[in-house]
Amino acid sequence: MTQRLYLFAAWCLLIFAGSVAASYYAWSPFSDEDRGGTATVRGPTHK
Amino acid sequence: MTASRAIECPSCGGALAIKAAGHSVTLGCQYCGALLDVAHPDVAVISTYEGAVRSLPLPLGVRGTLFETEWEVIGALERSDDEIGWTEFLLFSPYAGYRWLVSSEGEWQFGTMLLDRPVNDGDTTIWRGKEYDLDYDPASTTTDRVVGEFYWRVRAGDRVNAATYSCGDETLSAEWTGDEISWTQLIPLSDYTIRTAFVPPPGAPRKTFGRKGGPPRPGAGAASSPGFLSRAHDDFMSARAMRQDDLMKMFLIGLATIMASLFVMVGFGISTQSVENTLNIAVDGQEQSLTIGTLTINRPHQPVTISARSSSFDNRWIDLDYMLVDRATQRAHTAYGVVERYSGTDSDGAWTEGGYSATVKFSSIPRGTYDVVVDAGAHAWPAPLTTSIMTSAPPGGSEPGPWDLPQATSWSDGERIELRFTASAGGIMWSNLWLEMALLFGLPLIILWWRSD
Repeated sequence: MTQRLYLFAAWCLLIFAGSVAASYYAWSPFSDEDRGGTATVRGPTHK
Repeated sequence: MTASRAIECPSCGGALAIKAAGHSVTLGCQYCGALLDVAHPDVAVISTYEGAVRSLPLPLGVRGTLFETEWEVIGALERSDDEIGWTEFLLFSPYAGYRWLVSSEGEWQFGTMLLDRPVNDGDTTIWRGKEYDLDYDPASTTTDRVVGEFYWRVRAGDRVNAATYSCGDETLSAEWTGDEISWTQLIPLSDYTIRTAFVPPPGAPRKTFGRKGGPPRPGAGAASSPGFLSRAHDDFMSARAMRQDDLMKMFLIGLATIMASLFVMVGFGISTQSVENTLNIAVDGQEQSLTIGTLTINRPHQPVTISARSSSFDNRWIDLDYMLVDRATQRAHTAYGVVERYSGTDSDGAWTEGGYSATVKFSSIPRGTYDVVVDAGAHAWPAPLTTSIMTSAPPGGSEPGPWDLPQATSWSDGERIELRFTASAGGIMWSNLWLEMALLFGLPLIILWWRSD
Protein backbone atom coordinates (compact mmCIF):
# COMPACT_ATOMS: atom_id res chain seq x y z
CA MET A 1 0.00 0.00 0.00
CA THR A 2 1.21 3.45 -0.84
CA GLN A 3 1.39 6.26 1.66
CA ARG A 4 -1.41 8.00 -0.20
CA LEU A 5 -3.59 4.94 0.22
CA TYR A 6 -2.89 4.83 3.95
CA LEU A 7 -3.87 8.47 4.23
CA PHE A 8 -7.03 7.87 2.24
CA ALA A 9 -7.93 4.86 4.40
CA ALA A 10 -7.46 7.02 7.49
CA TRP A 11 -9.70 9.67 5.93
CA CYS A 12 -12.35 7.01 5.22
CA LEU A 13 -12.13 5.84 8.82
CA LEU A 14 -12.63 9.41 10.02
CA ILE A 15 -15.64 9.92 7.77
CA PHE A 16 -17.11 6.60 8.87
CA ALA A 17 -16.71 7.55 12.52
CA GLY A 18 -18.49 10.83 11.77
CA SER A 19 -21.23 8.95 10.00
CA VAL A 20 -21.74 6.61 12.95
CA ALA A 21 -21.85 9.56 15.35
CA ALA A 22 -24.33 11.41 13.11
CA SER A 23 -26.52 8.31 12.92
CA TYR A 24 -26.43 7.80 16.67
CA TYR A 25 -27.36 11.42 17.37
CA ALA A 26 -29.75 11.49 14.38
CA TRP A 27 -27.94 14.61 13.22
CA SER A 28 -27.97 16.01 9.72
CA PRO A 29 -26.78 19.34 8.31
CA PHE A 30 -29.66 19.21 5.85
CA SER A 31 -32.71 18.61 8.04
CA ASP A 32 -35.94 20.48 7.27
CA GLU A 33 -36.22 22.23 10.59
CA ASP A 34 -36.33 26.00 10.79
CA ARG A 35 -36.65 26.32 7.05
CA GLY A 36 -38.57 29.32 5.70
CA GLY A 37 -42.31 29.17 6.29
CA THR A 38 -45.47 30.02 4.44
CA ALA A 39 -44.99 33.71 3.87
CA THR A 40 -44.26 33.53 0.15
CA VAL A 41 -46.49 32.95 -2.82
CA ARG A 42 -45.41 29.89 -4.69
CA GLY A 43 -45.77 28.82 -8.29
CA PRO A 44 -44.07 26.84 -11.02
CA THR A 45 -40.48 27.59 -11.89
CA HIS A 46 -41.02 26.25 -15.39
CA LYS A 47 -39.96 28.58 -18.20
CA MET B 1 16.91 -15.58 -37.39
CA THR B 2 18.12 -16.84 -34.03
CA ALA B 3 18.26 -20.56 -33.34
CA SER B 4 17.09 -22.26 -30.16
CA ARG B 5 19.42 -24.42 -28.15
CA ALA B 6 18.41 -27.26 -25.85
CA ILE B 7 20.23 -27.73 -22.56
CA GLU B 8 19.71 -29.69 -19.37
CA CYS B 9 19.55 -27.92 -16.05
CA PRO B 10 22.61 -29.03 -14.08
CA SER B 11 20.72 -28.49 -10.88
CA CYS B 12 17.46 -30.40 -11.45
CA GLY B 13 17.91 -32.09 -14.81
CA GLY B 14 14.97 -30.27 -16.37
CA ALA B 15 14.98 -29.86 -20.14
CA LEU B 16 15.41 -26.21 -21.06
CA ALA B 17 15.51 -24.40 -24.36
CA ILE B 18 17.45 -21.22 -24.89
CA LYS B 19 15.26 -19.17 -27.20
CA ALA B 20 17.78 -16.49 -28.05
CA ALA B 21 20.89 -18.60 -28.22
CA GLY B 22 23.91 -16.46 -28.83
CA HIS B 23 22.32 -13.47 -27.13
CA SER B 24 21.27 -14.83 -23.75
CA VAL B 25 23.92 -15.08 -21.06
CA THR B 26 21.77 -15.91 -18.03
CA LEU B 27 18.99 -18.44 -17.69
CA GLY B 28 16.76 -18.99 -14.68
CA CYS B 29 15.50 -22.59 -14.64
CA GLN B 30 11.74 -22.55 -14.81
CA TYR B 31 11.54 -25.82 -12.84
CA CYS B 32 13.87 -25.38 -9.89
CA GLY B 33 14.71 -21.70 -10.11
CA ALA B 34 18.47 -22.25 -10.37
CA LEU B 35 20.31 -19.44 -12.13
CA LEU B 36 22.49 -20.76 -14.96
CA ASP B 37 25.34 -19.29 -16.96
CA VAL B 38 24.55 -20.18 -20.58
CA ALA B 39 27.13 -17.94 -22.25
CA HIS B 40 29.55 -20.85 -22.44
CA PRO B 41 29.06 -24.33 -23.87
CA ASP B 42 29.31 -25.87 -20.41
CA VAL B 43 26.29 -24.60 -18.60
CA ALA B 44 27.13 -23.77 -15.01
CA VAL B 45 24.96 -23.09 -12.01
CA ILE B 46 25.40 -19.55 -10.77
CA SER B 47 23.06 -19.94 -7.83
CA THR B 48 20.24 -22.19 -6.71
CA TYR B 49 16.79 -20.97 -5.78
CA GLU B 50 15.55 -21.81 -2.33
CA GLY B 51 11.89 -22.68 -2.21
CA ALA B 52 9.26 -23.68 -4.69
CA VAL B 53 9.00 -21.96 -8.02
CA ARG B 54 5.78 -20.01 -8.03
CA SER B 55 3.59 -19.56 -11.04
CA LEU B 56 3.83 -16.44 -13.14
CA PRO B 57 0.99 -14.40 -14.61
CA LEU B 58 2.41 -15.35 -18.03
CA PRO B 59 4.12 -18.72 -18.45
CA LEU B 60 7.54 -18.82 -20.04
CA GLY B 61 7.48 -19.91 -23.66
CA VAL B 62 4.06 -18.48 -24.37
CA ARG B 63 3.79 -16.53 -27.58
CA GLY B 64 1.60 -13.60 -28.41
CA THR B 65 1.20 -10.92 -31.05
CA LEU B 66 1.42 -7.32 -29.98
CA PHE B 67 1.83 -4.39 -32.34
CA GLU B 68 1.77 -6.80 -35.29
CA THR B 69 4.86 -8.64 -34.06
CA GLU B 70 4.93 -12.10 -32.54
CA TRP B 71 6.77 -12.17 -29.24
CA GLU B 72 7.82 -15.03 -27.02
CA VAL B 73 8.08 -14.68 -23.27
CA ILE B 74 11.62 -15.86 -22.53
CA GLY B 75 12.29 -14.42 -19.10
CA ALA B 76 10.64 -12.98 -16.04
CA LEU B 77 11.96 -10.82 -13.23
CA GLU B 78 10.11 -10.25 -10.01
CA ARG B 79 11.12 -6.89 -8.66
CA SER B 80 10.06 -4.63 -5.83
CA ASP B 81 10.77 -1.40 -4.06
CA ASP B 82 9.77 -0.35 -0.58
CA GLU B 83 6.10 -0.09 -1.50
CA ILE B 84 5.05 -2.50 -4.24
CA GLY B 85 6.24 -5.45 -6.27
CA TRP B 86 5.83 -6.14 -9.95
CA THR B 87 6.84 -8.60 -12.64
CA GLU B 88 8.78 -7.77 -15.77
CA PHE B 89 8.60 -10.23 -18.66
CA LEU B 90 11.31 -10.19 -21.29
CA LEU B 91 9.82 -10.65 -24.75
CA PHE B 92 11.90 -11.79 -27.66
CA SER B 93 11.34 -11.75 -31.39
CA PRO B 94 14.09 -12.92 -33.72
CA TYR B 95 13.12 -10.10 -36.08
CA ALA B 96 12.45 -7.23 -33.67
CA GLY B 97 14.71 -8.04 -30.72
CA TYR B 98 13.78 -7.57 -27.07
CA ARG B 99 10.87 -5.80 -25.43
CA TRP B 100 9.40 -5.73 -21.94
CA LEU B 101 5.96 -6.50 -20.62
CA VAL B 102 5.46 -5.13 -17.13
CA SER B 103 2.70 -6.40 -14.84
CA SER B 104 2.01 -4.35 -11.75
CA GLU B 105 -1.05 -4.93 -9.58
CA GLY B 106 -3.05 -6.19 -12.53
CA GLU B 107 -1.99 -3.40 -14.89
CA TRP B 108 0.12 -4.06 -17.97
CA GLN B 109 2.64 -1.95 -19.83
CA PHE B 110 4.63 -2.66 -22.97
CA GLY B 111 8.20 -1.46 -22.72
CA THR B 112 10.65 -0.50 -25.43
CA MET B 113 14.25 0.30 -24.59
CA LEU B 114 15.24 3.74 -25.83
CA LEU B 115 18.23 4.17 -28.06
CA ASP B 116 18.17 7.96 -27.88
CA ARG B 117 18.65 9.37 -24.43
CA PRO B 118 16.02 11.78 -23.04
CA VAL B 119 17.15 15.13 -21.69
CA ASN B 120 16.65 15.15 -17.95
CA ASP B 121 16.08 18.41 -16.09
CA GLY B 122 15.26 17.70 -12.47
CA ASP B 123 11.60 16.79 -12.18
CA THR B 124 10.98 16.86 -15.91
CA THR B 125 12.39 14.95 -18.82
CA ILE B 126 12.10 15.81 -22.47
CA TRP B 127 12.09 13.09 -25.08
CA ARG B 128 11.31 13.64 -28.74
CA GLY B 129 9.70 17.01 -28.02
CA LYS B 130 7.42 15.75 -25.26
CA GLU B 131 7.76 16.75 -21.66
CA TYR B 132 7.45 14.06 -19.00
CA ASP B 133 6.88 14.84 -15.32
CA LEU B 134 8.46 12.92 -12.48
CA ASP B 135 5.92 10.55 -10.85
CA TYR B 136 7.72 9.71 -7.62
CA ASP B 137 11.04 10.36 -6.05
CA PRO B 138 13.70 7.95 -7.28
CA ALA B 139 13.65 4.69 -5.36
CA SER B 140 15.93 1.70 -5.03
CA THR B 141 14.46 -1.42 -6.61
CA THR B 142 15.51 -4.99 -6.00
CA THR B 143 15.35 -8.01 -8.26
CA ASP B 144 13.74 -10.69 -6.10
CA ARG B 145 13.52 -13.59 -8.51
CA VAL B 146 14.87 -14.51 -11.93
CA VAL B 147 13.26 -17.06 -14.24
CA GLY B 148 14.10 -17.66 -17.88
CA GLU B 149 16.87 -16.22 -19.99
CA PHE B 150 18.32 -12.75 -20.25
CA TYR B 151 20.80 -10.93 -22.40
CA TRP B 152 22.76 -9.61 -19.45
CA ARG B 153 23.95 -11.12 -16.22
CA VAL B 154 21.17 -10.75 -13.75
CA ARG B 155 20.59 -12.40 -10.42
CA ALA B 156 18.28 -12.12 -7.47
CA GLY B 157 19.40 -9.38 -5.14
CA ASP B 158 20.52 -7.00 -7.87
CA ARG B 159 19.62 -3.43 -6.97
CA VAL B 160 19.22 -0.41 -9.19
CA ASN B 161 17.85 3.09 -8.73
CA ALA B 162 14.69 3.83 -10.67
CA ALA B 163 12.37 6.71 -11.44
CA THR B 164 9.39 7.11 -13.74
CA TYR B 165 8.22 10.14 -15.69
CA SER B 166 4.73 10.44 -17.19
CA CYS B 167 3.16 12.36 -20.03
CA GLY B 168 -0.48 11.42 -20.42
CA ASP B 169 -0.73 7.65 -20.60
CA GLU B 170 2.89 7.24 -21.59
CA THR B 171 5.67 6.60 -19.10
CA LEU B 172 9.43 6.79 -19.32
CA SER B 173 11.28 4.57 -16.88
CA ALA B 174 14.86 5.35 -15.97
CA GLU B 175 17.13 2.88 -14.17
CA TRP B 176 20.69 3.54 -13.25
CA THR B 177 23.62 2.08 -11.40
CA GLY B 178 26.80 4.09 -11.19
CA ASP B 179 27.29 5.90 -14.49
CA GLU B 180 25.12 3.58 -16.53
CA ILE B 181 21.52 4.59 -17.16
CA SER B 182 18.90 2.88 -19.28
CA TRP B 183 15.60 4.35 -20.42
CA THR B 184 12.44 2.46 -21.34
CA GLN B 185 9.25 3.77 -22.88
CA LEU B 186 6.15 2.17 -21.35
CA ILE B 187 2.74 2.09 -23.02
CA PRO B 188 -0.33 0.77 -21.19
CA LEU B 189 -2.09 -2.33 -22.47
CA SER B 190 -5.42 -3.65 -21.30
CA ASP B 191 -5.74 -6.92 -19.47
CA TYR B 192 -8.05 -8.03 -22.26
CA THR B 193 -5.33 -7.34 -24.85
CA ILE B 194 -2.83 -9.44 -22.91
CA ARG B 195 -5.27 -12.28 -22.33
CA THR B 196 -6.22 -12.46 -25.98
CA ALA B 197 -2.70 -11.95 -27.32
CA PHE B 198 -0.91 -14.62 -25.30
CA VAL B 199 -2.16 -18.17 -25.55
CA PRO B 200 -0.35 -20.94 -23.66
CA PRO B 201 1.46 -23.47 -25.83
CA PRO B 202 -0.50 -26.67 -26.49
CA GLY B 203 -0.33 -29.03 -23.53
CA ALA B 204 0.94 -26.40 -21.15
CA PRO B 205 -0.87 -26.18 -17.83
CA ARG B 206 -3.38 -23.38 -17.77
CA LYS B 207 -2.29 -20.43 -15.79
CA THR B 208 -4.07 -17.33 -14.69
CA PHE B 209 -3.33 -14.34 -16.88
CA GLY B 210 -3.22 -11.11 -14.98
CA ARG B 211 -5.73 -10.59 -12.23
CA LYS B 212 -8.79 -12.01 -13.91
CA GLY B 213 -9.84 -15.52 -14.91
CA GLY B 214 -8.08 -17.79 -17.34
CA PRO B 215 -6.84 -17.17 -20.83
CA PRO B 216 -9.07 -17.70 -23.84
CA ARG B 217 -8.93 -21.26 -25.09
CA PRO B 218 -7.16 -21.77 -28.40
CA GLY B 219 -9.60 -22.48 -31.15
CA ALA B 220 -12.59 -21.77 -29.00
CA GLY B 221 -15.46 -19.93 -30.62
CA ALA B 222 -17.43 -16.90 -29.68
CA ALA B 223 -18.97 -18.69 -26.72
CA SER B 224 -15.68 -18.53 -24.85
CA SER B 225 -14.73 -15.00 -25.83
CA PRO B 226 -15.13 -12.33 -23.13
CA GLY B 227 -18.55 -10.77 -23.03
CA PHE B 228 -19.32 -7.12 -23.51
CA LEU B 229 -19.37 -6.41 -19.78
CA SER B 230 -16.05 -8.16 -19.24
CA ARG B 231 -14.50 -6.27 -22.11
CA ALA B 232 -15.98 -2.97 -20.94
CA HIS B 233 -14.62 -3.67 -17.46
CA ASP B 234 -11.18 -4.39 -18.86
CA ASP B 235 -11.26 -1.28 -21.01
CA PHE B 236 -12.33 0.81 -18.02
CA MET B 237 -9.62 -0.65 -15.83
CA SER B 238 -6.98 -0.10 -18.46
CA ALA B 239 -8.06 3.41 -19.36
CA ARG B 240 -5.20 5.75 -18.83
CA ALA B 241 -7.00 7.57 -16.07
CA MET B 242 -7.36 4.33 -14.09
CA ARG B 243 -3.88 3.14 -14.78
CA GLN B 244 -1.18 2.96 -12.17
CA ASP B 245 -0.97 2.60 -8.44
CA ASP B 246 -3.84 2.79 -6.04
CA LEU B 247 -6.75 4.68 -7.59
CA MET B 248 -8.92 1.60 -7.92
CA LYS B 249 -8.13 0.62 -4.35
CA MET B 250 -9.20 4.08 -3.23
CA PHE B 251 -12.55 3.64 -4.95
CA LEU B 252 -12.98 0.22 -3.35
CA ILE B 253 -12.11 1.47 0.12
CA GLY B 254 -14.50 4.39 -0.37
CA LEU B 255 -17.23 2.04 -1.54
CA ALA B 256 -16.70 -0.25 1.45
CA THR B 257 -16.96 2.77 3.75
CA ILE B 258 -20.19 3.88 2.12
CA MET B 259 -21.67 0.40 2.45
CA ALA B 260 -20.69 0.22 6.12
CA SER B 261 -22.17 3.68 6.74
CA LEU B 262 -25.37 2.73 4.96
CA PHE B 263 -25.64 -0.35 7.15
CA VAL B 264 -25.25 1.80 10.28
CA MET B 265 -27.75 4.40 8.99
CA VAL B 266 -30.37 1.78 8.32
CA GLY B 267 -29.74 0.23 11.74
CA PHE B 268 -30.22 3.52 13.58
CA GLY B 269 -32.99 4.72 11.25
CA ILE B 270 -35.43 1.87 11.73
CA SER B 271 -38.83 3.31 12.54
CA THR B 272 -39.94 2.53 16.09
CA GLN B 273 -43.42 4.08 15.97
CA SER B 274 -45.75 5.49 13.36
CA VAL B 275 -49.02 7.49 13.41
CA GLU B 276 -51.37 8.50 10.61
CA ASN B 277 -54.15 11.02 10.13
CA THR B 278 -56.11 12.67 7.34
CA LEU B 279 -57.03 16.29 6.68
CA ASN B 280 -59.52 17.65 4.18
CA ILE B 281 -58.62 21.20 3.31
CA ALA B 282 -60.34 23.89 1.25
CA VAL B 283 -58.34 25.61 -1.48
CA ASP B 284 -57.87 29.30 -0.70
CA GLY B 285 -59.82 28.75 2.50
CA GLN B 286 -58.82 29.13 6.11
CA GLU B 287 -55.62 27.51 7.31
CA GLN B 288 -56.48 24.34 9.18
CA SER B 289 -54.73 22.67 12.08
CA LEU B 290 -54.51 18.95 12.75
CA THR B 291 -52.86 16.84 15.41
CA ILE B 292 -51.51 13.93 13.44
CA GLY B 293 -50.83 11.88 16.56
CA THR B 294 -48.44 11.35 19.41
CA LEU B 295 -44.94 9.96 18.99
CA THR B 296 -42.68 8.67 21.71
CA ILE B 297 -38.93 8.94 21.17
CA ASN B 298 -37.29 6.13 23.09
CA ARG B 299 -33.67 6.66 22.14
CA PRO B 300 -31.48 9.55 23.34
CA HIS B 301 -31.92 11.11 19.89
CA GLN B 302 -33.94 10.05 16.90
CA PRO B 303 -35.06 11.58 13.63
CA VAL B 304 -38.75 12.09 12.93
CA THR B 305 -40.08 11.72 9.42
CA ILE B 306 -43.43 13.16 8.33
CA SER B 307 -44.78 12.47 4.89
CA ALA B 308 -47.86 14.03 3.32
CA ARG B 309 -49.68 12.56 0.36
CA SER B 310 -52.56 14.33 -1.29
CA SER B 311 -55.42 13.52 -3.58
CA SER B 312 -55.07 14.59 -7.18
CA PHE B 313 -55.01 18.31 -7.97
CA ASP B 314 -53.40 20.67 -10.40
CA ASN B 315 -51.93 24.17 -10.18
CA ARG B 316 -52.24 24.26 -6.39
CA TRP B 317 -49.82 24.35 -3.53
CA ILE B 318 -50.31 23.38 0.08
CA ASP B 319 -48.21 24.99 2.79
CA LEU B 320 -47.48 22.64 5.67
CA ASP B 321 -46.16 23.99 8.97
CA TYR B 322 -45.22 21.09 11.18
CA MET B 323 -44.62 21.22 14.90
CA LEU B 324 -43.35 18.59 17.28
CA VAL B 325 -44.51 19.75 20.72
CA ASP B 326 -42.76 18.14 23.68
CA ARG B 327 -45.49 17.31 26.18
CA ALA B 328 -43.13 17.65 29.12
CA THR B 329 -41.58 21.02 28.28
CA GLN B 330 -44.00 22.41 25.66
CA ARG B 331 -40.98 23.17 23.55
CA ALA B 332 -41.81 23.02 19.84
CA HIS B 333 -39.60 21.86 16.97
CA THR B 334 -40.83 23.37 13.72
CA ALA B 335 -40.35 22.57 10.06
CA TYR B 336 -41.91 23.60 6.80
CA GLY B 337 -43.05 21.43 3.95
CA VAL B 338 -45.02 21.98 0.79
CA VAL B 339 -46.98 19.82 -1.59
CA GLU B 340 -47.30 21.44 -4.99
CA ARG B 341 -48.05 20.47 -8.51
CA TYR B 342 -48.39 22.60 -11.60
CA SER B 343 -48.98 21.92 -15.27
CA GLY B 344 -49.38 23.94 -18.42
CA THR B 345 -48.55 24.18 -22.08
CA ASP B 346 -46.01 26.33 -23.82
CA SER B 347 -44.27 26.39 -27.16
CA ASP B 348 -42.43 23.19 -26.26
CA GLY B 349 -45.66 21.39 -25.45
CA ALA B 350 -47.21 20.24 -22.20
CA TRP B 351 -45.24 20.39 -18.98
CA THR B 352 -45.77 19.40 -15.36
CA GLU B 353 -43.93 20.31 -12.22
CA GLY B 354 -43.98 19.05 -8.65
CA GLY B 355 -45.89 16.11 -7.23
CA TYR B 356 -48.56 14.94 -4.84
CA SER B 357 -46.37 14.10 -1.88
CA ALA B 358 -43.68 15.65 0.28
CA THR B 359 -41.52 14.40 3.12
CA VAL B 360 -40.06 16.43 5.94
CA LYS B 361 -37.41 15.21 8.36
CA PHE B 362 -36.62 16.48 11.82
CA SER B 363 -33.12 15.72 13.00
CA SER B 364 -31.83 14.94 16.46
CA ILE B 365 -35.12 14.98 18.36
CA PRO B 366 -34.36 14.20 22.03
CA ARG B 367 -36.07 11.51 24.05
CA GLY B 368 -39.66 12.37 25.03
CA THR B 369 -43.31 12.29 24.02
CA TYR B 370 -44.36 14.65 21.25
CA ASP B 371 -47.63 15.81 19.74
CA VAL B 372 -47.22 16.03 15.99
CA VAL B 373 -49.21 19.03 14.75
CA VAL B 374 -49.60 20.43 11.26
CA ASP B 375 -51.05 23.75 10.07
CA ALA B 376 -52.05 23.41 6.44
CA GLY B 377 -53.20 25.97 3.90
CA ALA B 378 -54.05 25.19 0.27
CA HIS B 379 -53.67 27.85 -2.42
CA ALA B 380 -54.49 28.18 -6.09
CA TRP B 381 -52.05 29.27 -8.76
CA PRO B 382 -52.14 31.84 -10.24
CA ALA B 383 -52.73 33.46 -6.88
CA PRO B 384 -55.77 35.73 -6.56
CA LEU B 385 -54.94 39.37 -7.01
CA THR B 386 -54.59 41.32 -3.81
CA THR B 387 -57.42 43.44 -2.49
CA SER B 388 -55.60 46.68 -3.17
CA ILE B 389 -55.27 45.84 -6.83
CA MET B 390 -58.80 44.55 -7.10
CA THR B 391 -60.32 47.66 -5.66
CA SER B 392 -58.01 50.30 -7.07
CA ALA B 393 -59.26 52.36 -9.92
CA PRO B 394 -57.15 52.65 -13.06
CA PRO B 395 -55.45 55.96 -13.83
CA GLY B 396 -58.06 58.51 -14.77
CA GLY B 397 -60.46 57.63 -12.01
CA SER B 398 -62.80 55.36 -13.90
CA GLU B 399 -64.16 52.14 -12.47
CA PRO B 400 -61.98 49.03 -12.68
CA GLY B 401 -62.32 47.29 -15.99
CA PRO B 402 -62.97 43.61 -16.44
CA TRP B 403 -59.30 43.06 -17.28
CA ASP B 404 -58.44 43.98 -13.69
CA LEU B 405 -60.70 41.44 -12.08
CA PRO B 406 -59.06 38.36 -10.63
CA GLN B 407 -60.28 35.30 -12.32
CA ALA B 408 -58.30 32.79 -10.26
CA THR B 409 -60.58 33.19 -7.26
CA SER B 410 -63.42 31.47 -9.02
CA TRP B 411 -61.25 28.53 -10.10
CA SER B 412 -60.97 27.11 -6.60
CA ASP B 413 -64.49 27.77 -5.33
CA GLY B 414 -65.51 24.87 -3.18
CA GLU B 415 -62.53 22.75 -4.14
CA ARG B 416 -61.09 20.57 -1.40
CA ILE B 417 -57.92 18.53 -1.23
CA GLU B 418 -57.47 15.50 0.98
CA LEU B 419 -54.09 15.10 2.68
CA ARG B 420 -52.91 11.93 4.39
CA PHE B 421 -50.10 12.37 6.89
CA THR B 422 -47.79 9.69 8.23
CA ALA B 423 -45.40 10.58 11.04
CA SER B 424 -42.82 8.09 12.26
CA ALA B 425 -40.06 8.08 14.83
CA GLY B 426 -37.07 7.10 12.75
CA GLY B 427 -35.84 7.57 9.19
CA ILE B 428 -32.68 7.64 7.18
CA MET B 429 -30.95 10.94 6.54
CA TRP B 430 -30.05 10.33 2.91
CA SER B 431 -28.47 13.75 2.64
CA ASN B 432 -25.80 12.53 5.09
CA LEU B 433 -25.02 9.69 2.72
CA TRP B 434 -24.69 12.03 -0.29
CA LEU B 435 -22.41 14.30 1.75
CA GLU B 436 -20.32 11.31 2.78
CA MET B 437 -20.05 10.14 -0.82
CA ALA B 438 -18.87 13.59 -1.87
CA LEU B 439 -16.24 13.62 0.87
CA LEU B 440 -15.06 10.09 0.14
CA PHE B 441 -15.06 10.06 -3.63
CA GLY B 442 -14.06 13.68 -4.14
CA LEU B 443 -10.35 12.99 -3.95
CA PRO B 444 -10.31 9.90 -6.21
CA LEU B 445 -12.54 11.69 -8.71
CA ILE B 446 -10.24 14.71 -8.74
CA ILE B 447 -7.29 12.38 -9.41
CA LEU B 448 -9.30 10.64 -12.13
CA TRP B 449 -10.21 13.94 -13.73
CA TRP B 450 -6.65 15.23 -13.46
CA ARG B 451 -5.26 12.11 -15.10
CA SER B 452 -7.78 12.07 -17.92
CA ASP B 453 -7.17 15.72 -18.66
